[in-house]
Amino acid sequence: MKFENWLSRRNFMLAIIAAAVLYGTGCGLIELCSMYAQRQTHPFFFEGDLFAGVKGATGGEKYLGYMTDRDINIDKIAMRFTQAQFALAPVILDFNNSNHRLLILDFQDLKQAVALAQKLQLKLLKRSPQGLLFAERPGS
Amino acid sequence: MIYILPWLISILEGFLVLTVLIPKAVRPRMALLIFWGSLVGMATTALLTFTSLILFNKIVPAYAIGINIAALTGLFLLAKKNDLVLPFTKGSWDRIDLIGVHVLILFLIPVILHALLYPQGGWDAWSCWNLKAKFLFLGDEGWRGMLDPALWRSNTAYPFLLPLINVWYWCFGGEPVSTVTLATSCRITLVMAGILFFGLKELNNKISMLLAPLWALSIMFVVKLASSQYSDLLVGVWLLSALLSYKLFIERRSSAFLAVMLLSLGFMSFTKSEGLVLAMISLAVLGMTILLSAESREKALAAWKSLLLTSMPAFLPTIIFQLCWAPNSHTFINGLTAADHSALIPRLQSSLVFLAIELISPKWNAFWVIAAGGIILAGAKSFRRGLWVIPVILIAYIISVIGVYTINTFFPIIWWVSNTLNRILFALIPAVIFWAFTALL
Repeated sequence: MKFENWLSRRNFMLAIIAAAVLYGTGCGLIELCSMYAQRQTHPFFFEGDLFAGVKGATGGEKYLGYMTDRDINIDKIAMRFTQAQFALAPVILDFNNSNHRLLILDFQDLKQAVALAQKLQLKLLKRSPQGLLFAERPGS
Repeated sequence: MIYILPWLISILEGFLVLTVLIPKAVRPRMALLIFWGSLVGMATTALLTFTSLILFNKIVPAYAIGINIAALTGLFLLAKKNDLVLPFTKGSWDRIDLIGVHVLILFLIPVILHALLYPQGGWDAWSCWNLKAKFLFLGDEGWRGMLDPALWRSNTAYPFLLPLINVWYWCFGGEPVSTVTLATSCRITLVMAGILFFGLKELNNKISMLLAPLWALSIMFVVKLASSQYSDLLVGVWLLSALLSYKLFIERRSSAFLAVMLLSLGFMSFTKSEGLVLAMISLAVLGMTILLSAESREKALAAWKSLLLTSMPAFLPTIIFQLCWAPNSHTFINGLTAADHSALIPRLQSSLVFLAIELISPKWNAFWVIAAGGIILAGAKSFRRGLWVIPVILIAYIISVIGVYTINTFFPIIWWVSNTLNRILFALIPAVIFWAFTALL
């Protein structure tokens, strides 16, 4: 092969792309290794799993009211809510709507949750170890 | 193990669809047919599963399995009449094909490893795509709950090809396991890489074309998004499929590739709203190009009509969804009709600045800079026959996206572009690589 053919625009670009592939693969593998190392100290946790206990008790209900004192505009809270929705689908979680028969009370302050339950005269059905309350509105 | 069966049915179905559509004289090599067939098969099995919603207003697994097996049988009989060559017939794979498959599988390992770190996928996986899949599979007649306004955070107006692909697998196992959604994201990535390599090899029989998919798979940010169980890569692969079909149509002058192109655009339109916009733009640009270049306008129009009818099944889910089921978007405020338009110009400026920043962001490993360099270096070849449509489609799409960012004032612009623009660009990577490599051939 003639030198000028070998040094074509095409081969020049292929050489650059090959270098990018080598660089990217190396960096990627290093990043993956560090992600796996981090996972040893911070195991994977899906917040939706916290709501799994409620799943069997929804009894064909289409909606659950999801009552909370947390600010859903904060990403971490929005994530908790959407993961809860995913875990409980096909039941629909209605955010801060207490007009449904069944309600989940996901409060940072348990006293506030209990106060709301008393105010709405809710009947508590379940309480998870993480402080989630699952309640029913009597007569609805 | 039960999930190997739907996977095999899906690949075979897609392979047979391509065999039936493309005459033997112009048919691509086996390796491309298998990877391309895998993509087409994902959509056809999902589409046939979709008919269960129309007939029974719910997903009936036995029906979905039955109709797919019936379709497979019918396609096999049709393919036999159309010179069917079985996938592992002697001589249908060359040495480069086999090396390519092994290297692609090797480069898929980081994608699988990253996917295993997040078995439930990224944010949109649990808040949108896999949520829709769960509603479809577990909801019975209540599957339309996924369109409920209370779920506005979950993109209720989005169509659901990816969820249906997963539901097809769940029909076999009987439960909505996350292993399936995780495996689907890895499978789509492998199919993208396979179509890219074997598609380019079909145009230029060189092993150096293997650099094309490896380039994409070597970018860690691409690996992260590809394994996130989102629909964006599906949009990208269908665009690649449409462009490859168009290029093969130009080279081989067979309308069979136009049919595959239209099928690709139809399936793309059911992936997500962005896919619908991209499909409509591609349909307009490619359609006009073909009509204008035809010797006889009347003949070309007649041919288009029959092709559109052939590919109608691929557009049908989108048409049904958009006409009958799609709820109004709860995340759209038309800034043009607002009394105060003062927000529009800053939104446009922010979008453009973010686009520029994104294109040179280190997370892409200089992908966009190198791709632009390759296209510029190829000079006029980048815009030769059959290739100039690619930049037209990409630019029109980016303009549409920037237009939506500007006009829809529902989301704060900085939050919106910083969270979504990278995925818009990610979906275009297969098409950009295809363009750069075909220009450099």
